This record gives sequence, structure tokens and C-alpha cells, in this order.
Amino acid sequence: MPVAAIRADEINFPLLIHVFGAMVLVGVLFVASLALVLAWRRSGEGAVTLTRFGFWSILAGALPAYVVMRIGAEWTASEEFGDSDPDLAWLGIGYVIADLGALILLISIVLSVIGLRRARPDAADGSTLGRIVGLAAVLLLVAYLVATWAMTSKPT
Amino acid sequence: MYDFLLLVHVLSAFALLGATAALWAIVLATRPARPLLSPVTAALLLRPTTIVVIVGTLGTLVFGVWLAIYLDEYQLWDGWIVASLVLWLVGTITGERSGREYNAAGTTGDPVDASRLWKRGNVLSVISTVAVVAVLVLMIYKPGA
Repeated sequence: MPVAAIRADEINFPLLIHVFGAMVLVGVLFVASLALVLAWRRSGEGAVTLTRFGFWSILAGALPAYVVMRIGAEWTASEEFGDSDPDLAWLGIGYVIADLGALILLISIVLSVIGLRRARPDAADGSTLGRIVGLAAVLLLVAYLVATWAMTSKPT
Repeated sequence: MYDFLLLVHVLSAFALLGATAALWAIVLATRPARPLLSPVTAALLLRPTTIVVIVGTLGTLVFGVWLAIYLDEYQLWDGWIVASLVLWLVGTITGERSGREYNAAGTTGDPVDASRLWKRGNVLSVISTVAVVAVLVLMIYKPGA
């Protein structure tokens, strides 16, 4: 029978911050990608409204949630491993996804800012940018699903 | 088996809390004073988000109880597990009630009534969200375990 992990007390709070930020990040990316993908199949005012909502979700929600998640991750790692280099596969997967995710998120934020300026019913640019940001959000969602598996199952 | 149960339980928690955050984004975008989304557009987003909430709500309960039964060191009557189940129930009931209030706010024709129903929905949503976050706190700290 396996033994469930009971952590040291000093790890609990940073871990809570990390997990809470990750959950909000996933939720914001979900609703942003949903809005942007739904906008693909529409035209006119409805498509513009959904695209603007998707852009605003990325801007106002994803960035703060990512920062909270990343601070929590670093804090948890420093409490658990200190200055040592643990060289664990699951931790490596988490770092790679977080760092690549940050780059994709940053590009999405820049495109969202540009898209918000262009999102008008008669403008094609807002819709093209919406598709790019929508695809990026779906990609990030899949990547964070893999990260969740790695953090939970801790493959060696 | 333990790894699988834990993974599905955690994924369900991500679905529940993530979709709760998504619902808040939709709620803020439909505030009667300055709506970004029309009721029709909001409904397009609400349907799949509500499905994710339901999947997360049921998944956390089923796989959480399964884990508690599977693991020798936890019992269903442990204080932190009982408290989690009670908070889960509070979160589910208030969350479902808030959905009804928002739905009524979207369908009533009277702006004053819509604003009142929307605010009542917000109060219930805050209670639901606090209850769900409190469950997350209990899951991580496991007080008494």
C-alpha cells in the first residue's frame, strides 16, 4: 500500500500559492481559448466581442496568475531543496514548461494588446491575431496538463 | 493505482477551481452597469464552463473519497476530510444557487431587478469560491493527518 506524502510545514504555504496560481492560470487560459476559438466561427459584433473578451482575459488574468504560480514554484523549491541541485525529472519538466510557457504567454500578451486596438467588426487583423492567441492559449493549456501530470506523478 | 487516483483527483481540482476562475471572468464581463459580453454571447461561454465545473465537482468528490478509502493512513471520518466534504457541499449548493441568480438576471427585462439578482449571485459566488479555496487549503495542509 503506498504512503501518501505528508510535507514539512514550511512547504505548505508556498505550495498553496503555487497550486492556487496554477489553477487560476489554467482557468483563465481555458476561458480565453474558448472565447477566441468560438470567435473563429462567427463574424460581426459577436466575433469582435468574444475576441476582445479573450484578449482581456489573457491580459488581466493570465499574467498575474502566472506570476503567482512562478513565485510559488520557486519558493516551494527553495524550501524543499535549499541550495542543492536535486536533478529530478519532474522538476525539470516543470521548469521547461514554465519557462517556455512564459515566452508563449509574453508573445500572447503583446499580440492581445495589438489585437485590442484593432478588434473592430470590419478589421481582419483582430481576427487573425485572435486565432494566433487562441492557438497559443490551447497550446499552453495542453502544456500545463503535462506539467500537472509531472508534478503529481513525479516520474523519475 | 495510487498515482492514477491522485492524478485524476488533482486534475478534477484543477477543473473545479480553474472553471471557477473562468466563471468569475465571465461574471465580471457581464456586469449590468457596463457589460462587455451580451447575455447571448455569455451563454456560449457559460455552457462549456459549467460542464467543466460539474466534472471537477464530481471528480474531486469521487476520486477524493476513493483515495481516502484506498490509503491506510487516511479515514473518511478524519476531521480534515469531514470538513472538506462539508465545505465541498457548501461550495456546490451556493455555486448552483448563484448560477440560478445570474440566469434570472440575464432573462429579466427590468435593469434594476437584473442588478439586484446579479449582486445576489455575486454574494453566493463569493461564498462558493471561499468554500472551494478552503477545501484546497485543507487538502494541502491536511491538519491532524
